[in-house]
Amino acid sequence: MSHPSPWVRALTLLGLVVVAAVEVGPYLWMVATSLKDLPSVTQFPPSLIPRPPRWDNYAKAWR
Amino acid sequence: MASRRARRDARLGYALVGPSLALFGLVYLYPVAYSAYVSVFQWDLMTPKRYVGLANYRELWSPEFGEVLVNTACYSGGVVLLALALGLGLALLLNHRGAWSAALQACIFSSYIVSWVAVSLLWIWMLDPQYGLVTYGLRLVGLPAVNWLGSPAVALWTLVLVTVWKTLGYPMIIYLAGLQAIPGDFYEAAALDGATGWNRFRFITWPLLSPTTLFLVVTLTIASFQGFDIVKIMTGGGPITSTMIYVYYIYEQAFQYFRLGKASAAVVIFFGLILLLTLAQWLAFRKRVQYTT
Repeated sequence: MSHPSPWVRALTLLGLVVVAAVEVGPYLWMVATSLKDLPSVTQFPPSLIPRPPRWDNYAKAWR
Repeated sequence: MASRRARRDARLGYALVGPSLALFGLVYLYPVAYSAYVSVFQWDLMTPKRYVGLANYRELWSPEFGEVLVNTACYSGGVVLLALALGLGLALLLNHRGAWSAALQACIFSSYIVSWVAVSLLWIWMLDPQYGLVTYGLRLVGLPAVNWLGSPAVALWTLVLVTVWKTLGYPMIIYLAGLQAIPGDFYEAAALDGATGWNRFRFITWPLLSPTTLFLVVTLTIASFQGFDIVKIMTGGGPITSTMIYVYYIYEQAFQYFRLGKASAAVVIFFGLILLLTLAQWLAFRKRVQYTT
Protein backbone atom coordinates (compact mmCIF):
# COMPACT_ATOMS: atom_id res chain seq x y z
CA MET A 1 0.00 0.00 0.00
CA SER A 2 1.18 3.50 -0.74
CA HIS A 3 1.85 5.78 2.19
CA PRO A 4 -0.08 9.05 2.26
CA SER A 5 1.73 12.25 3.09
CA PRO A 6 2.12 13.26 6.75
CA TRP A 7 -0.33 16.11 6.18
CA VAL A 8 -3.07 13.78 4.99
CA ARG A 9 -2.44 11.48 7.91
CA ALA A 10 -2.53 14.33 10.42
CA LEU A 11 -5.78 15.65 8.96
CA THR A 12 -7.31 12.16 9.00
CA LEU A 13 -6.32 11.70 12.63
CA LEU A 14 -7.74 15.12 13.47
CA GLY A 15 -11.03 14.23 11.79
CA LEU A 16 -11.23 10.96 13.67
CA VAL A 17 -10.48 12.67 16.97
CA VAL A 18 -13.28 15.18 16.28
CA VAL A 19 -15.73 12.32 15.61
CA ALA A 20 -14.63 10.54 18.79
CA ALA A 21 -15.00 13.79 20.76
CA VAL A 22 -18.54 14.27 19.41
CA GLU A 23 -19.35 10.71 20.47
CA VAL A 24 -17.88 10.97 23.95
CA GLY A 25 -18.31 14.67 24.72
CA PRO A 26 -22.00 14.46 25.62
CA TYR A 27 -21.20 11.88 28.32
CA LEU A 28 -18.57 14.14 29.85
CA TRP A 29 -21.21 16.85 29.80
CA MET A 30 -23.65 14.48 31.52
CA VAL A 31 -21.06 13.66 34.19
CA ALA A 32 -20.33 17.36 34.72
CA THR A 33 -24.04 18.17 34.95
CA SER A 34 -24.51 15.37 37.49
CA LEU A 35 -22.18 17.26 39.85
CA LYS A 36 -23.84 20.67 39.50
CA ASP A 37 -26.41 22.49 41.57
CA LEU A 38 -29.43 24.06 39.89
CA PRO A 39 -27.98 27.57 39.37
CA SER A 40 -24.89 26.19 37.61
CA VAL A 41 -27.03 23.78 35.57
CA THR A 42 -29.02 26.66 34.08
CA GLN A 43 -26.08 29.05 33.99
CA PHE A 44 -25.42 30.69 30.64
CA PRO A 45 -22.78 30.59 29.24
CA PRO A 46 -22.39 27.07 30.62
CA SER A 47 -19.18 25.91 32.25
CA LEU A 48 -17.78 22.40 32.15
CA ILE A 49 -16.32 22.39 35.66
CA PRO A 50 -18.95 22.21 38.40
CA ARG A 51 -18.16 24.81 41.08
CA PRO A 52 -18.59 23.72 43.78
CA PRO A 53 -18.96 20.02 42.88
CA ARG A 54 -22.16 18.71 44.43
CA TRP A 55 -21.34 15.12 45.34
CA ASP A 56 -24.54 14.92 47.36
CA ASN A 57 -26.50 14.67 44.07
CA TYR A 58 -25.44 11.02 44.06
CA ALA A 59 -26.43 10.51 47.67
CA LYS A 60 -29.85 11.98 46.82
CA ALA A 61 -30.26 9.72 43.81
CA TRP A 62 -29.42 6.72 45.96
CA ARG A 63 -32.09 7.47 48.53
CA MET B 1 -29.90 -48.63 7.08
CA ALA B 2 -28.94 -45.11 6.23
CA SER B 3 -32.52 -43.82 6.00
CA ARG B 4 -33.46 -45.15 9.42
CA ARG B 5 -30.37 -43.55 10.86
CA ALA B 6 -31.21 -40.27 9.12
CA ARG B 7 -34.71 -40.40 10.59
CA ARG B 8 -33.29 -41.02 14.05
CA ASP B 9 -30.91 -38.09 13.62
CA ALA B 10 -33.80 -35.90 12.51
CA ARG B 11 -35.83 -36.92 15.56
CA LEU B 12 -32.92 -36.08 17.83
CA GLY B 13 -32.56 -32.76 16.06
CA TYR B 14 -36.21 -31.87 16.58
CA ALA B 15 -35.97 -32.91 20.22
CA LEU B 16 -32.98 -30.63 20.68
CA VAL B 17 -34.51 -27.56 19.06
CA GLY B 18 -37.94 -28.34 20.57
CA PRO B 19 -37.57 -26.41 23.83
CA SER B 20 -36.30 -23.22 22.24
CA LEU B 21 -38.84 -23.55 19.42
CA ALA B 22 -41.62 -23.88 22.01
CA LEU B 23 -40.36 -20.82 23.87
CA PHE B 24 -40.04 -18.90 20.59
CA GLY B 25 -43.58 -19.85 19.70
CA LEU B 26 -44.88 -18.80 23.08
CA VAL B 27 -43.23 -15.39 23.34
CA TYR B 28 -42.96 -14.40 19.64
CA LEU B 29 -45.42 -16.24 17.45
CA TYR B 30 -48.32 -16.27 19.87
CA PRO B 31 -48.39 -12.45 20.35
CA VAL B 32 -48.15 -11.93 16.58
CA ALA B 33 -51.00 -14.36 15.99
CA TYR B 34 -53.01 -12.77 18.78
CA SER B 35 -52.47 -9.31 17.22
CA ALA B 36 -53.83 -10.65 13.94
CA TYR B 37 -56.84 -12.00 15.84
CA VAL B 38 -57.49 -8.75 17.74
CA SER B 39 -57.17 -6.72 14.53
CA VAL B 40 -60.67 -7.72 13.40
CA PHE B 41 -62.29 -6.62 16.67
CA GLN B 42 -63.11 -3.33 18.29
CA TRP B 43 -61.61 -3.46 21.77
CA ASP B 44 -60.77 -0.87 24.43
CA LEU B 45 -59.41 -3.34 27.05
CA MET B 46 -62.38 -2.55 29.34
CA THR B 47 -65.50 -3.71 27.49
CA PRO B 48 -65.80 -7.05 25.63
CA LYS B 49 -64.41 -7.29 22.12
CA ARG B 50 -66.83 -6.60 19.26
CA TYR B 51 -66.26 -8.23 15.88
CA VAL B 52 -65.96 -5.58 13.14
CA GLY B 53 -64.35 -7.47 10.27
CA LEU B 54 -61.88 -5.35 8.32
CA ALA B 55 -63.18 -2.02 9.60
CA ASN B 56 -59.93 -1.37 11.50
CA TYR B 57 -57.92 -1.76 8.32
CA ARG B 58 -60.30 0.51 6.43
CA GLU B 59 -59.96 3.09 9.16
CA LEU B 60 -56.18 2.95 8.96
CA TRP B 61 -56.38 3.91 5.28
CA SER B 62 -56.18 7.66 5.93
CA PRO B 63 -53.92 10.67 5.28
CA GLU B 64 -52.79 10.42 8.91
CA PHE B 65 -51.50 6.90 8.35
CA GLY B 66 -49.84 7.98 5.11
CA GLU B 67 -47.99 10.65 7.04
CA VAL B 68 -46.85 8.06 9.57
CA LEU B 69 -45.49 5.93 6.72
CA VAL B 70 -43.66 8.89 5.18
CA ASN B 71 -42.17 9.86 8.56
CA THR B 72 -41.04 6.30 9.16
CA ALA B 73 -39.48 6.07 5.69
CA CYS B 74 -37.62 9.38 6.18
CA TYR B 75 -36.40 8.41 9.65
CA SER B 76 -35.39 4.91 8.64
CA GLY B 77 -33.86 5.91 5.32
CA GLY B 78 -31.90 8.74 6.91
CA VAL B 79 -30.60 6.57 9.73
CA VAL B 80 -29.61 3.64 7.50
CA LEU B 81 -27.86 5.74 4.83
CA LEU B 82 -25.99 8.00 7.26
CA ALA B 83 -24.99 5.20 9.63
CA LEU B 84 -23.77 3.02 6.75
CA ALA B 85 -21.76 5.76 5.05
CA LEU B 86 -20.19 7.09 8.24
CA GLY B 87 -19.63 3.59 9.64
CA LEU B 88 -17.85 2.48 6.47
CA GLY B 89 -15.73 5.64 6.36
CA LEU B 90 -14.67 5.23 9.98
CA ALA B 91 -13.96 1.53 9.53
CA LEU B 92 -11.73 2.23 6.51
CA LEU B 93 -9.79 4.89 8.43
CA LEU B 94 -9.49 2.88 11.64
CA ASN B 95 -8.62 -0.46 10.06
CA HIS B 96 -5.17 -0.91 11.55
CA ARG B 97 -3.75 -2.08 14.84
CA GLY B 98 -2.49 0.44 17.35
CA ALA B 99 -3.38 2.25 20.52
CA TRP B 100 -4.83 5.28 18.70
CA SER B 101 -7.09 3.21 16.56
CA ALA B 102 -8.30 1.11 19.50
CA ALA B 103 -8.97 4.16 21.67
CA LEU B 104 -10.92 5.93 18.92
CA GLN B 105 -12.95 2.80 18.21
CA ALA B 106 -13.81 2.49 21.90
CA CYS B 107 -14.89 6.16 22.05
CA ILE B 108 -17.08 5.86 18.97
CA PHE B 109 -18.62 2.54 20.03
CA SER B 110 -19.37 3.73 23.57
CA SER B 111 -22.63 5.49 22.73
CA TYR B 112 -24.04 2.29 21.19
CA ILE B 113 -24.15 0.50 24.55
CA VAL B 114 -25.88 3.25 26.52
CA SER B 115 -29.65 3.00 26.98
CA TRP B 116 -32.00 4.90 24.68
CA VAL B 117 -33.58 6.62 27.66
CA ALA B 118 -30.28 8.07 28.89
CA VAL B 119 -29.32 9.13 25.36
CA SER B 120 -32.70 10.79 24.76
CA LEU B 121 -32.65 12.71 28.04
CA LEU B 122 -29.04 13.75 27.49
CA TRP B 123 -29.83 15.14 24.03
CA ILE B 124 -32.97 16.92 25.17
CA TRP B 125 -30.72 18.75 27.57
CA MET B 126 -27.91 19.33 25.06
CA LEU B 127 -30.36 20.68 22.46
CA ASP B 128 -32.35 22.87 24.83
CA PRO B 129 -32.98 26.11 22.92
CA GLN B 130 -32.06 28.20 25.97
CA TYR B 131 -29.56 26.37 28.16
CA GLY B 132 -28.32 23.63 25.85
CA LEU B 133 -24.65 23.11 25.12
CA VAL B 134 -25.32 22.86 21.37
CA THR B 135 -27.19 26.16 21.45
CA TYR B 136 -24.24 27.70 23.25
CA GLY B 137 -21.80 26.25 20.73
CA LEU B 138 -23.81 27.61 17.80
CA ARG B 139 -23.92 31.03 19.41
CA LEU B 140 -20.15 30.96 19.99
CA VAL B 141 -19.49 30.58 16.28
CA GLY B 142 -22.16 33.14 15.42
CA LEU B 143 -24.81 30.80 14.02
CA PRO B 144 -28.50 31.30 14.82
CA ALA B 145 -30.10 28.95 17.35
CA VAL B 146 -32.03 26.05 15.85
CA ASN B 147 -35.29 24.92 17.39
CA TRP B 148 -34.18 21.29 17.19
CA LEU B 149 -37.20 19.62 18.74
CA GLY B 150 -39.82 22.36 18.55
CA SER B 151 -39.96 22.92 14.80
CA PRO B 152 -42.03 20.47 12.73
CA ALA B 153 -39.66 20.81 9.78
CA VAL B 154 -36.56 19.97 11.83
CA ALA B 155 -37.62 17.61 14.64
CA LEU B 156 -37.62 14.38 12.63
CA TRP B 157 -34.12 15.07 11.29
CA THR B 158 -32.94 15.86 14.81
CA LEU B 159 -34.12 12.40 15.81
CA VAL B 160 -32.26 10.95 12.81
CA LEU B 161 -29.05 12.69 13.90
CA VAL B 162 -29.36 11.56 17.52
CA THR B 163 -30.08 8.00 16.37
CA VAL B 164 -27.06 8.02 14.04
CA TRP B 165 -24.97 9.43 16.87
CA LYS B 166 -26.01 6.56 19.10
CA THR B 167 -25.88 3.78 16.47
CA LEU B 168 -22.71 4.74 14.59
CA GLY B 169 -20.44 2.36 16.51
CA TYR B 170 -22.42 -0.64 15.33
CA PRO B 171 -21.87 -0.40 11.54
CA MET B 172 -18.28 0.68 12.23
CA ILE B 173 -17.50 -2.46 14.24
CA ILE B 174 -19.28 -4.79 11.80
CA TYR B 175 -17.50 -3.18 8.83
CA LEU B 176 -14.15 -3.49 10.63
CA ALA B 177 -14.80 -7.20 11.08
CA GLY B 178 -15.70 -7.42 7.37
CA LEU B 179 -12.53 -5.57 6.36
CA GLN B 180 -10.33 -7.82 8.44
CA ALA B 181 -11.76 -10.89 6.69
CA ILE B 182 -10.40 -9.69 3.31
CA PRO B 183 -7.07 -11.39 2.61
CA GLY B 184 -4.11 -9.00 2.32
CA ASP B 185 -2.83 -10.83 -0.80
CA PHE B 186 -5.59 -9.24 -2.87
CA TYR B 187 -4.30 -5.77 -2.08
CA GLU B 188 -0.70 -6.83 -2.69
CA ALA B 189 -1.62 -8.23 -6.10
CA ALA B 190 -3.59 -5.10 -6.92
CA ALA B 191 -0.70 -2.88 -5.82
CA LEU B 192 1.66 -4.87 -8.06
CA ASP B 193 -0.73 -4.29 -10.95
CA GLY B 194 -0.61 -0.59 -10.17
CA ALA B 195 -4.21 -0.18 -9.00
CA THR B 196 -5.01 3.19 -7.46
CA GLY B 197 -6.52 3.51 -3.98
CA TRP B 198 -9.97 4.18 -5.40
CA ASN B 199 -9.79 1.18 -7.72
CA ARG B 200 -8.66 -1.06 -4.86
CA PHE B 201 -11.72 0.06 -2.93
CA ARG B 202 -14.04 -0.19 -5.93
CA PHE B 203 -12.96 -3.65 -7.13
CA ILE B 204 -11.75 -5.42 -3.99
CA THR B 205 -13.01 -3.86 -0.76
CA TRP B 206 -16.56 -2.92 -1.75
CA PRO B 207 -17.48 -6.21 -3.52
CA LEU B 208 -15.99 -8.32 -0.74
CA LEU B 209 -17.83 -6.25 1.87
CA SER B 210 -21.18 -6.88 0.16
CA PRO B 211 -22.37 -9.59 2.60
CA THR B 212 -21.50 -7.19 5.46
CA THR B 213 -23.40 -4.37 3.75
CA LEU B 214 -26.45 -6.59 3.20
CA PHE B 215 -26.41 -7.66 6.83
CA LEU B 216 -26.09 -4.05 8.00
CA VAL B 217 -28.82 -2.75 5.67
CA VAL B 218 -31.24 -5.42 6.91
CA THR B 219 -30.48 -5.10 10.62
CA LEU B 220 -30.30 -1.28 10.61
CA THR B 221 -33.56 -1.04 8.67
CA ILE B 222 -35.37 -3.32 11.08
CA ALA B 223 -33.89 -1.59 14.13
CA SER B 224 -34.79 1.89 12.86
CA PHE B 225 -38.29 0.79 11.88
CA GLN B 226 -38.73 -0.25 15.49
CA GLY B 227 -37.63 3.14 16.83
CA PHE B 228 -39.81 4.10 19.77
CA ASP B 229 -38.00 5.15 22.96
CA ILE B 230 -36.42 8.20 21.39
CA VAL B 231 -39.77 9.50 20.11
CA LYS B 232 -41.55 8.70 23.36
CA ILE B 233 -39.00 10.65 25.40
CA MET B 234 -37.81 13.42 23.09
CA THR B 235 -40.89 14.53 21.16
CA GLY B 236 -43.98 12.45 21.92
CA GLY B 237 -44.67 12.32 18.18
CA GLY B 238 -44.84 16.08 17.90
CA PRO B 239 -44.63 18.93 17.14
CA ILE B 240 -48.01 18.38 15.47
CA THR B 241 -47.38 14.88 14.08
CA SER B 242 -44.00 15.53 12.50
CA THR B 243 -42.14 12.79 14.41
CA MET B 244 -44.96 10.26 14.56
CA ILE B 245 -43.17 7.11 13.42
CA TYR B 246 -44.76 3.70 13.10
CA VAL B 247 -44.19 2.00 16.44
CA TYR B 248 -45.02 5.16 18.34
CA TYR B 249 -48.23 5.43 16.33
CA ILE B 250 -49.13 1.86 17.32
CA TYR B 251 -48.40 2.66 20.95
CA GLU B 252 -50.51 5.80 20.84
CA GLN B 253 -53.49 4.06 19.26
CA ALA B 254 -53.27 1.21 21.79
CA PHE B 255 -52.45 2.91 25.07
CA GLN B 256 -53.48 6.55 24.66
CA TYR B 257 -56.71 6.08 22.71
CA PHE B 258 -57.31 2.46 23.79
CA ARG B 259 -58.10 1.33 20.27
CA LEU B 260 -56.53 -2.07 20.51
CA GLY B 261 -58.15 -3.33 17.32
CA LYS B 262 -56.85 -0.49 15.18
CA ALA B 263 -53.40 -0.74 16.80
CA SER B 264 -53.34 -4.49 16.12
CA ALA B 265 -54.28 -3.92 12.48
CA ALA B 266 -51.33 -1.52 12.28
CA VAL B 267 -49.12 -4.23 13.84
CA VAL B 268 -50.18 -6.75 11.19
CA ILE B 269 -49.43 -4.27 8.39
CA PHE B 270 -46.09 -3.47 10.04
CA PHE B 271 -45.19 -7.14 10.18
CA GLY B 272 -45.97 -7.48 6.46
CA LEU B 273 -44.04 -4.31 5.61
CA ILE B 274 -40.86 -5.42 7.38
CA LEU B 275 -41.16 -8.87 5.81
CA LEU B 276 -41.55 -7.39 2.31
CA LEU B 277 -38.77 -4.88 2.84
CA THR B 278 -36.32 -7.53 4.08
CA LEU B 279 -37.26 -9.79 1.18
CA ALA B 280 -36.77 -6.93 -1.29
CA GLN B 281 -33.38 -6.08 0.19
CA TRP B 282 -32.34 -9.70 0.06
CA LEU B 283 -33.45 -10.05 -3.57
CA ALA B 284 -31.79 -6.78 -4.59
CA PHE B 285 -28.52 -7.85 -3.04
CA ARG B 286 -28.65 -11.55 -3.94
CA LYS B 287 -27.03 -11.16 -7.34
CA ARG B 288 -24.40 -8.75 -6.10
CA VAL B 289 -23.37 -10.33 -2.82
CA GLN B 290 -20.18 -12.35 -3.03
CA TYR B 291 -19.91 -14.71 -0.12
CA THR B 292 -16.70 -16.44 -1.11
CA THR B 293 -13.35 -14.77 -1.22
